[in-house]
Amino acid sequence: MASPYLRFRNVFSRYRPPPLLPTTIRTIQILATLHLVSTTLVELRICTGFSMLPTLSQHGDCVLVSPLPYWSPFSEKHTRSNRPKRGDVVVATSPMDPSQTVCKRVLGVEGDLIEIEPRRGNQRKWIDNAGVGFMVDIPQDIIELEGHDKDRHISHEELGLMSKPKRNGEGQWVKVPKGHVWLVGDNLSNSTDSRKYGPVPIAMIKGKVLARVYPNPAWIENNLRHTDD
Amino acid sequence: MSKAGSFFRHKGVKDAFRVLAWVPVGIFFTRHVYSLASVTGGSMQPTFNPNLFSSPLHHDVVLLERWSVAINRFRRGDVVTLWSPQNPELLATKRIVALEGDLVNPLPPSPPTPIRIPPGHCWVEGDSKYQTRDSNTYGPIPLGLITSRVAYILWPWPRRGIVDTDLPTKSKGRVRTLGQSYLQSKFGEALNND
Repeated sequence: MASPYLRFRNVFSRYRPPPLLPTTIRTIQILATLHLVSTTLVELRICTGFSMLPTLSQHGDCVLVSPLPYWSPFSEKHTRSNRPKRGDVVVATSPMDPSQTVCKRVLGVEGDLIEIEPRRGNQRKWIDNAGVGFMVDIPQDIIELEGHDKDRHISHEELGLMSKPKRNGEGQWVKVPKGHVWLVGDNLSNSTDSRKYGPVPIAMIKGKVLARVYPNPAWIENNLRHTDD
Repeated sequence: MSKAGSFFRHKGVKDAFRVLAWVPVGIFFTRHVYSLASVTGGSMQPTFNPNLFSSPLHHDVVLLERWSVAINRFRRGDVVTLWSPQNPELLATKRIVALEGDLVNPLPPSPPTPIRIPPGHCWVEGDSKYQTRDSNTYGPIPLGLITSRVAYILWPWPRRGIVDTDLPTKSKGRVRTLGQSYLQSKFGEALNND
């Protein structure tokens, strides 16, 4: 016949918090399991920025990222079957700042010839300075190179033969070196990507973006098409 | 009592789960705090494996410090492990000689023009004078390729201890850090230049 207030007070006063040490240990174990799952299996991330419009909006889309498509269990094998493919949207560590990650699309894999459109001003200054090993000027020079081993870096003498003064309005060609990929954002007019910092080593790629979860759920597709030229 | 419930009543199953619960914690520790590795290859002689060619099966065992890389703490002179830019499945061990903004005079096979390290990149070199594939071959590398810092040599016992962070003689004098040329012009020989 006790009033609800008295019954509540009896129960409440008998409450003891859970013991501290087992709770802390259990919390650490759960956090470690979540971290392991998010780095090995799948992860939900928020991507902001204008560089991947219209695939990802600039307000912040929640995306599903997974490192599994690029995981190869035998690191000694040289089969190269689990490398990023052309058209994959990937999440990678930023070459400009190791604490940031970028989300871009893979446009070129190793050995591809990429044509960079002429840029306004000197926005490409960095690639001109640091990218001496892989910038080439005209595709005809590549045909001479085809006779050599394609995997080695372009040597100093060949650079002297190939580099010509760059005129405004002239496109430039880049051969993606071994072990690198060429990342470009979907929004070409507003994207800092390989057109600024050059080819990105494959080890920087942390995972593949599988789907956009919120606000417009959809699988991210490879929308590159072959053209016969 | 359900079948699943009676399974978990067994003491052995409970103990197994108690042990398994520590596995993710252990994996986190190995990936982000400290781990062990053995150094193969002679590109860091004499720091690691000085007798590699006379006894090729004896490799140095080292302690890798991963938390300093997780908080992006890089110092010139650190010996680090990194994914090779030419082969993403190969882990290489080299020494950081220059960080972003520094001017480096490279050795062959790179052309001898001085290179300014871009932001977010570094210049790594092997300690060996003779045979090493490092930034002199593939240029400055992004800091995102670095996985850990080599902190201690644990085996062999006579050479155990902290890994030296001084630049070897082959790298001294070839790096001009950012701001050093300004200080040189102001204070001249009063500065210790190395």
